[in-house]
Amino acid sequence: MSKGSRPTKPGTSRRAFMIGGTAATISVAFPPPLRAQQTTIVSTIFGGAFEAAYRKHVVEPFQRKYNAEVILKYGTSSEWVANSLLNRGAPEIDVIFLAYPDSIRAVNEKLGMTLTPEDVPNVLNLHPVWYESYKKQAVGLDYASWGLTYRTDSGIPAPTSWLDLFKPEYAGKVILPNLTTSGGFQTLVMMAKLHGGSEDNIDPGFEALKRLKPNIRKFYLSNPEAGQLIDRGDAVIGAMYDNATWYMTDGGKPIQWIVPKEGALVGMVSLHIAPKTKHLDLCKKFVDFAISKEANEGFCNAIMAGPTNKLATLAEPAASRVPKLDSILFPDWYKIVKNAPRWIERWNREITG
Amino acid sequence: MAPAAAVVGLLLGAPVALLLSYGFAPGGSTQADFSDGATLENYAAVLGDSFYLNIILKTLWLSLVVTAASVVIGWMLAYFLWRAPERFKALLTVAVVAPLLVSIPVRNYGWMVLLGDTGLVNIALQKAGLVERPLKLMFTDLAVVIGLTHVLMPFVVLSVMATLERIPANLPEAARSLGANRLAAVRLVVLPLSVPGIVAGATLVFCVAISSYVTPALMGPSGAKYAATLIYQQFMSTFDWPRGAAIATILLVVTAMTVVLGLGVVGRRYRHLMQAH
Amino acid sequence: MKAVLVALVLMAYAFIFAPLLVVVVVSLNGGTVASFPIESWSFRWYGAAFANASFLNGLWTSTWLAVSCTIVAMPLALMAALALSKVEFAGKSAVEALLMAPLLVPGIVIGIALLLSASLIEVRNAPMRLLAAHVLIALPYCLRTITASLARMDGSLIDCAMSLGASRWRAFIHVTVPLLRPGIMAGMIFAFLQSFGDVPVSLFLTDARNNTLPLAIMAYLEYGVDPSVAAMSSIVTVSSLALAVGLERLVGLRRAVG
Repeated sequence: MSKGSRPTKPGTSRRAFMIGGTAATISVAFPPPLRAQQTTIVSTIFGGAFEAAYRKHVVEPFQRKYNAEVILKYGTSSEWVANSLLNRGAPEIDVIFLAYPDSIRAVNEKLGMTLTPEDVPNVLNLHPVWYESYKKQAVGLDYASWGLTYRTDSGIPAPTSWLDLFKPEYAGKVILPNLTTSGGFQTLVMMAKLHGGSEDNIDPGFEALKRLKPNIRKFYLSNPEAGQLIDRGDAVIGAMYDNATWYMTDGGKPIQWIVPKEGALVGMVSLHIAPKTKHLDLCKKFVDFAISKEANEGFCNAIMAGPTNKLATLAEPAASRVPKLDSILFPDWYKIVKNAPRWIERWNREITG
Repeated sequence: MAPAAAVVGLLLGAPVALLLSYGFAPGGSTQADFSDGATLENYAAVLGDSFYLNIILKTLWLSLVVTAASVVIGWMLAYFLWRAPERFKALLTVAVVAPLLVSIPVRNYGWMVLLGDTGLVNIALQKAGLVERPLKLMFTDLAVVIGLTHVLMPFVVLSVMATLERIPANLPEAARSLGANRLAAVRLVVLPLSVPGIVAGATLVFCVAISSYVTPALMGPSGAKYAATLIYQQFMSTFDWPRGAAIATILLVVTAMTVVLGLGVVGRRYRHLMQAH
Repeated sequence: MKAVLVALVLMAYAFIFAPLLVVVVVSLNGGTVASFPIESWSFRWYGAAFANASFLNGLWTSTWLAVSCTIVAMPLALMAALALSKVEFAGKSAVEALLMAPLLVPGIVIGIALLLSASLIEVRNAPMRLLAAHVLIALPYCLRTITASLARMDGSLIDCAMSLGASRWRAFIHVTVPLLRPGIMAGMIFAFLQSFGDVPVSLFLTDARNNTLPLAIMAYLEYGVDPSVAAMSSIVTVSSLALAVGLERLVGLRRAVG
């Protein structure tokens, strides 16, 4: 404190300021409850371009049609599963939007109620796999394909096969997802199958990845990280989803995506309804709306994904970019989820350790 | 007064204690099932496994390095700011912390541009002819040390400044008038008086570094290399919460022991400086 | 000697600002994908950032959270620090350790723990949960810095004031608090920064209406890396620097820092 300052008045402002300030800020944080005109349901979504397309083609039309409000929460699939597990008795999330493998975990834990055609009529219009594979406890929304993303200016001829990743020219320039990142399990299972293994016999997969290690720049943790690595040239090839890649291609980058000749694997997001939701009727309507022909078409065309509704057709450029449903490979997710803890342990020690 | 503070701390700390108690339940799920009694199986699995022990030791070592780097750079900045002209002091001080307002994922992109294979540092080194191929700087322990020091060093700056401000500004001059040269004046007079600030700052840096998840995950090598990334994996990927809780508890104990040890060492040497009279 | 110090300090500031400068440059990129080096220059991403409702919501939430938790945590820490320094009681070190514990536990554990407990006692109010969580993580910072300041404080000044007729309360307000001001300010700055930038703890406690800025940015980045996040970050940092300059002119901020 500098000398010669005037003594402050008694009962000083510091305390009063703090009390007043706290009261002010806290009262702003709890605005008086608005009288609800509409029913509100809470759902979840990935961000960025995905969210923008989802709002435009699914959420907003739904809100207008049913005079309801849908609030979207961000995060990752695992967080939403954890949230749903902890709030089972009084769910915070009414319609849970999840990706593999968390959607299968949710089915195993019965976090989503069984859906019937009476509840959700459009179920009958889905390709059966998007309903049956969830044991009728969820419906698929749109599929993405897991293939190879590469830089066209790397000087190395364009890849055609998953096994091209092993080429010595790619030393230190390959990126793959970490096992626990989206796409990780697909990659491990693909590697196993390419070398004579399967979900029940995963050893060939681990062996193959160990051999691939010298080529790997990094096992990435998220889509944006993968995109940045390829964009900056730290990597020139990697396993990625198609829709995340097209975003970069359309942004003018020398980056392309292909289906390797052995096939692309499927990625899927699904909608589950929490059994104890307070707005059951509205949730059913929302799910039905989201998988309807119009919503599905609009959404999938916007983000270059595959529709789950049989009646939906894609327009260009999505039509030529999205692999047909019957050409995509489906791993057995139930086996994967069952084996996951052991595989994660092995991964820590043998691959990234 | 004091009891109120303790009550609040305990109230908020109790949930954490509750979750950590999961460590004594059988593993494999998100529930703590004590119907067969408590068990030490998680602890045995972790402590008996050199793989896990290595991770914890590595995290410990890394945090010590970050702490040392932060203390050195931070103290120097604090001294400079203490001696800085009044006009610029506030601005320069805020300048130390302002970059921390940039959100982690964005900051990380900045580091990628600087330290990546085609990043500015590598381009500069190659142009200067110092290296032929790009150095792998990103996704290494070094990158984690850089990233964490960048974020945590301001803790040392402000803590040390808080103690330096209590030192009369003419004390170094007084020392010099008694015959000490400038460096000795700083080393023998200013430095010891700033010890409480260094200790406060270093403790904060060490504790935050060791439990840090996001920066090591974004800037460090792939996989669960550090304790916090391992814990995150247990909770969010393997969904084995008792195991995760056990690892978190072990980390907590190791860190607390290190801090107590460190404070003990410093306390003995500087006892007379650490107590309020 | 002085020149060496200045050179080292300049290097230190360069280290501090390097990633930030990259971010600012990226924010001025005219292209659609965030990349470096820049091909064309534009301010359009600042417009995009301001138009992004989730960024603005995030900025608002993060700011009120950081300010509130700092205001709440600081007096608590002050009281605790004073009590701990004056009184010797059994289990004192245990209480000390407990109050520091939130620092030692990874944020994810705190986040899940608080969500678990909030669900058990059915506290659904997200702002309240977030505030409680942020106070919990802010407390140790304030406690540490105030304790350090206390160590340098001359306790006899208090006795002096009281022997001159001041009541305990007045001695506290007019002597203790001003002497501890640097420690208090440092603690408040740390608390604010940690709260504003927190990711792991907030992750589980935000709800759809209350999202923090770092989480909003991370969500946005999931499907498409464009420079609007860089613009948002630049806005935040440059405004805080401008705020510091402004406060300095108006209020004489140097007195708060020193």
